[in-house]
Amino acid sequence: MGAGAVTCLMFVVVALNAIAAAAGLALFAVAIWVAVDGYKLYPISGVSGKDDIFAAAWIAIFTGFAFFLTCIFGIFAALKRSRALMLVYLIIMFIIFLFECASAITAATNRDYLVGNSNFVKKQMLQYYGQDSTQGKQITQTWNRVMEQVECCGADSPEDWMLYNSTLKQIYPTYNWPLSCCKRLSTFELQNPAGCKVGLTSTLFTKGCFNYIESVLSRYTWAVSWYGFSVLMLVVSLDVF
Amino acid sequence: MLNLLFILGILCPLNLAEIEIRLLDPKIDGVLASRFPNSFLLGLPDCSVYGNKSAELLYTELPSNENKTKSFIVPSCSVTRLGLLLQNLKNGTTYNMQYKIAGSNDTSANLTMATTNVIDFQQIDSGLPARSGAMVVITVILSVAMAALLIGLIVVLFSS
Repeated sequence: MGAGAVTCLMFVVVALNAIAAAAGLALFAVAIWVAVDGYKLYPISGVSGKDDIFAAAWIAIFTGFAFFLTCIFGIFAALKRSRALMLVYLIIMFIIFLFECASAITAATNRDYLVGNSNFVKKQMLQYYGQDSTQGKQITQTWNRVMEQVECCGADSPEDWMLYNSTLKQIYPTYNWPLSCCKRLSTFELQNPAGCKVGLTSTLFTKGCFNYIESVLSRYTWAVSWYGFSVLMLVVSLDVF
Repeated sequence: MLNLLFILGILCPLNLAEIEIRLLDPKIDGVLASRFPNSFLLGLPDCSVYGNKSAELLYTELPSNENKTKSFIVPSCSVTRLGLLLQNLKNGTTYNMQYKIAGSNDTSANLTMATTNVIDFQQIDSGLPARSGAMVVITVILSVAMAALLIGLIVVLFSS
């Protein structure tokens, strides 16, 4: 009876370790996806120094891979039935748990700071768009790409450019909003330059870009933070056994 | 009496009618706005009556009473007309505007409008907005789990 229960327990431990190893590897892959930044929105967080979402992704890369290796070591330790090895396994798991906790919490908090409301993104756009510094160039490039691909203008709407003063207005006083806000033909020429300058709503994009930016950064955060959280819960249940 | 007024009305020549002056309306004319911090977007004089004639827009900045003029040619009806963009104004200032056709006495009424004020972008408060539920949940549950694991680890260590 005792031997049967121990075998059953060992089987459960090995199975859970295998699942946790696979989950750790998946966390590793997802964190690489976030760090690569396929949507190329890194400058929005990087320019103001608040790129903790990407820092959390880097930590998750290492913890994901470490989970994978440690779980394989755990399978080995369970099969060997060595108490010392199991203790080492538990201590290493705890340390990795701490790092992954830090990563998940950092990503969730930083996301709230960046895209909780549109103020941060709006202020950064007004300050850096069109500026001649390295940060200005990065922000200008990022915003131009977003405005042209997503067909939007400004953070909440083109009115942002009219309600507030901006670096762009100081450098080019005759333009009320950037040229990337104007609709273009498939040949990339402006559809109606005079109409766009004057504000004809059929010639420029009227929706704001904040929704898109918020959805991308949230997607990155949920990948690192919630997936990390679920892996951690799996590890906790594993350690209870 | 009424008959007299009717006869007088018929005898009055038509060219004493005023030129219409107005700001474009976002709902009717399909523009984003017509009052900007440094410019106004005005409707042009009627193209069927004044097309291809040269005209002037006289505008006065109200507190200082500086008079300025902007000359332009009223586009004909065959061209799509957008509006007249009056630029290089100061923000938050009131202006008096009036159209006048060159070489005649046709004028419009006075239009008094103020440009909008701008808010400095540095005033935008970009601090942390409210903490979201996700942040609180993740932090609380992970802290509790961390404490439980630590206790479990200590128990296992000291029971061996």
